[in-house]
Amino acid sequence: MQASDYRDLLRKLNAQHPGLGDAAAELAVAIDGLIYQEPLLETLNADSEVAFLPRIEGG
Amino acid sequence: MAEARDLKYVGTRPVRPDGVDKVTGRALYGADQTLPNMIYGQVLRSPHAHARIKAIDLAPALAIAGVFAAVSGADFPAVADGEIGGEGGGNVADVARNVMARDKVVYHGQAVAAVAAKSNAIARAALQAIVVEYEPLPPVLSLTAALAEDAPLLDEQCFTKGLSETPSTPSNVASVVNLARGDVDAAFAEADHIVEREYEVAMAHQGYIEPHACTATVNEAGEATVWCCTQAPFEFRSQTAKITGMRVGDVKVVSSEIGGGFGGKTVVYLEPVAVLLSRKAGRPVKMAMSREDVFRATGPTSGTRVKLKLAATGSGRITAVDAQLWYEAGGYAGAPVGPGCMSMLAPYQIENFRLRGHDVLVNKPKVAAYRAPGAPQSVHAMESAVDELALKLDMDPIDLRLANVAEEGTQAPYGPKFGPIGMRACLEAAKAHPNYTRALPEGAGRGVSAAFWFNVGGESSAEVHVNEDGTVTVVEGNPDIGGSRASMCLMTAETLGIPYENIKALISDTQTGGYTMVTGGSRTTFATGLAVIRACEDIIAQCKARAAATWELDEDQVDWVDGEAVPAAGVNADVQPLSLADIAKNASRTGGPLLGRASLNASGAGPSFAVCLSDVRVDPETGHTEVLSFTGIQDAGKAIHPDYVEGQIQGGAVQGIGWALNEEYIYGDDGVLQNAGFLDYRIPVASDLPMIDATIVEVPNPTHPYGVRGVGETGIVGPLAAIANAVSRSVGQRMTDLPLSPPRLLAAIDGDT
Repeated sequence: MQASDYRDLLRKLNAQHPGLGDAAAELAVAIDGLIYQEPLLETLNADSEVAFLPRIEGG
Repeated sequence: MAEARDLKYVGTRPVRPDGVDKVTGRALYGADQTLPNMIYGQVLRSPHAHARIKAIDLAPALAIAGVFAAVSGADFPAVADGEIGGEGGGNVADVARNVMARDKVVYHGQAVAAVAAKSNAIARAALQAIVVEYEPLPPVLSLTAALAEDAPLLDEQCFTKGLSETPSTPSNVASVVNLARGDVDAAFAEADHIVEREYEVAMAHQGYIEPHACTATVNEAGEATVWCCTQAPFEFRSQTAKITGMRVGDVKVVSSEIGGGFGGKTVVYLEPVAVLLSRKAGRPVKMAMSREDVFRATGPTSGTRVKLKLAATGSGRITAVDAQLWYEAGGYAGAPVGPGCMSMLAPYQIENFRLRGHDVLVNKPKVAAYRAPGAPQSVHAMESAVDELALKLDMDPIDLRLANVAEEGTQAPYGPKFGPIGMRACLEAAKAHPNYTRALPEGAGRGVSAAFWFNVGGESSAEVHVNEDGTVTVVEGNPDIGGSRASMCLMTAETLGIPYENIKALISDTQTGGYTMVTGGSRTTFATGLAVIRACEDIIAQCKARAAATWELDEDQVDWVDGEAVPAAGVNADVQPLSLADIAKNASRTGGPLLGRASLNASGAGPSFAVCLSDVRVDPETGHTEVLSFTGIQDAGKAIHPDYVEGQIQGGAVQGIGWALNEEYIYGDDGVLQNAGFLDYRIPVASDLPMIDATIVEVPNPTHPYGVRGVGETGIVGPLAAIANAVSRSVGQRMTDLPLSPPRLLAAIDGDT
């Protein structure tokens, strides 16, 4: 999937699979291995790998 | 980016700045705050594990001389569902009910009312006068009971989340999580070896030595100040505001020194109650829990069951894992089963897995975060299965783990690909460790476990004030639990290039410092450390600008080297270097005081891996386990203050050993905790254990200037399985359920199980 940034990715996920982008927005995201707990402004490269995952808590 | 370089202060072991105050008793803890006209609050707790509250009459208590105020759930505003904020807090409406029950109690000891009086004795007497009408309900005290088809329901509105379709009937399963990859069934069909077991770990408490305590005062303008022992002053401010219906800006939280937290002091219990009592009484209110209160109504962490099936080739390649996990949430949803699933396979490259986790309501206290929440229990199951596979294959257990080890580039089970990680380095250090290479003592068993925890970053703020003589004050918002004052001073010394002795670190309250997330998630040295480093870099930039102005040079013609401004290479200027003290002394003439600031949301926390080794010997006549040696080997990324890192490894080991061998919540059929004290809830003491050997591995985290990963949590993840594997090898049979207390072991040895 081609997307310029995190928000563009959510929009495109929603367009292809309605509701998926909204669900993903509730999660943390890993972009090229780096985890962002509260993403919004992150940019993506053409070959970026993106994973959505629950926010990690700790003790 | 972390890179190899000579470090002058980072990695040294100076004396801790808070040590003298703590050993002389000068340090102030949660219950030490005293104010004029202060009165004392006590909590009435439910005598039932499960009951509806039909009515509460506070009037008889209020009629007692010396009683100033009383509250019950009806005095608190309605709180809508939503995230509480902080670590493991869950739903704010549930936390509000946990602070003070409304229409129902869901565990024995839950708060149902509170009074404030001029003495604790009067307050306790007043509690006895409160009339509560209950409708007792049958308690649900185990996973088996909670999952039974006809189980009494803790919450009639609990419709399991996480299923493809919302069920039409409620149950005690609050949510289900799934984590899957590859073709598990095909991998099992082709497997040479299969290990299949069911493992249980008992509910256990964080066991911090300092009970929860706070003092609150509300002024005539309705503004509250709360002094308390907390890991999370800013989250406590938010939680207290939400639960009492106040604005965040009208609540000020001042954290005391803290006698342990381990995740258990990340969510409020007393603070909103003290605020309401103070508002009603017009006086400051102090509240402090007893040890019994702490056991009955705070923490603990989940008791768990994991059913696990592992497939492997004849050469020891693990090809698939199929597992179901059930975690006790206590009376309200929020067991850490998600991170349990996400962490249990992280040390390995496994192409096929199918994990299904369940968050299960039971009539026990609402669980709170505990060091690497959820991971010790799931990793115990996986690492026990790996040990059993090693025995089946007659293979060295470290070699088996090396044959499956996760490396840089491995796709983690929870999604992203790992960057540089230290799992292999820890395994290799373990294999070469003298505690592993030496002969096994007679009659002993040797256990191995790998371990993992994510670590987190998050929001932090810091200020660096340069005083007029060049000494420095660092202001940060994380209560110092694991040595963060010293770590912040060391990173400041390294970044500014000034002596460690010239720096002091202060912990702000929620009004005098910038927002900083919890001291938890192994985040403080990483994320707040990053804020401190950035604030120091702000100071350096200002110093270079002031030196340039002094020397009539451009800013880019000045460098900062070893704590001094100097002309940059190639700049021809006949000037003497200006130290931080020189610039501070003249600051009033060059722009005013030097104040560096940074606030950030740190991403890129470095995952942490570890290996635990232990030799144990089990007495066949008593079932007592003697721990002969224990070794924790952990990747710290970079140890800023190695003493503290070793202390974290040792502390995690001791807590994990206690959980493995003795610690458990024991309930009667009536839902009353039978061992709510340290005499009966047996945590290890120094005489129970050998010196814990700690080895620091350093595979730098590339996202931190000095390579820091978190270190506070990973150390508790491995000991459960390391001990269980050592005991299993010692007694010659697989021990699957923790704790491995003498009665349980004796029954197994005698063949009674």
